[in-house]
Amino acid sequence: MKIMNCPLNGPRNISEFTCFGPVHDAFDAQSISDSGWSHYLFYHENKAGIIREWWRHTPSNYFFIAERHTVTDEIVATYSPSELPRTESKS
Amino acid sequence: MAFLAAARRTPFGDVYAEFSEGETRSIDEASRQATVLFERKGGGPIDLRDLTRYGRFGVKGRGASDWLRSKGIAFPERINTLAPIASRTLDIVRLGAEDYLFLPQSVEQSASLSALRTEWEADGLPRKGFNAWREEVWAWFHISGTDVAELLAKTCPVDLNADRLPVRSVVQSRVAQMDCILARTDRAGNHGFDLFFDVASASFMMRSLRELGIG
Repeated sequence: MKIMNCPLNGPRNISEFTCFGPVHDAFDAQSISDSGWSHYLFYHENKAGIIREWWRHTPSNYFFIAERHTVTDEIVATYSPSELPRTESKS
Repeated sequence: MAFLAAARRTPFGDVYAEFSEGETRSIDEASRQATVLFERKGGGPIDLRDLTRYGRFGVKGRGASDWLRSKGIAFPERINTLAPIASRTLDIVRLGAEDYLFLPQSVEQSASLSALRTEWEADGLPRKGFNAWREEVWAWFHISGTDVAELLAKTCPVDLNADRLPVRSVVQSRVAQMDCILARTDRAGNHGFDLFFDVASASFMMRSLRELGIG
């Protein structure tokens, strides 16, 4: 069983977790252009390499960030969302 | 309304203690009804008690911590910890940043719990968390015995041995392939855990633990 380190609960079986997809930059829904909306909805980066994702430890309903390599599926790091700088490019 | 309240029963047919209309049952009686999961030579029995009918109260969401502070209730600093509230004969379990569960220290004495619920309901604060309905959505078992950690190791990935997990520790993990909260309370006088999980799966949990005891 693959083990993932939950920042709140510690190392747990991967079956205790749910992935909620890549972290996106926030945007202003009122001012964004049509092409911006289109890009947000229909284009995904699908990067080969390390990406940031939202994950949840399901039994405690705790959401956190994991950095995962999409080629090797290795989980490089996990941390609290509070450690994610809002201004940083995040995917 | 009284009829509806009286008709409410747990998955195993018990009347909820708060609506039992004078019917009283103590933990001693609950103890007599304990299911012995297995008994090993020299190890003693492992008992499973269904405490679902007894009162518990959960508050979660923004403002829950502030409400506790406003009432002078000290809550654990660390998440996944249980602490007694001495003045109220209650235990408080911190399950998240703004997620709290209150348990009576003695299951048949729910007056203090009811008083706390009434205080919370009557409070006019705009943000005081919301009622998590823990008495409705969770079943509550207590499993105990000298070898309880060994039994649960068959189905729970966390090391629950007494030297690794002291009393008042809380683990949010999986038991019988279901999300489950385990709080080490030792409430039956020996090594034991309160289990909280989806009430609709109470029968499945009971069957699973019995099978593990046999196997």
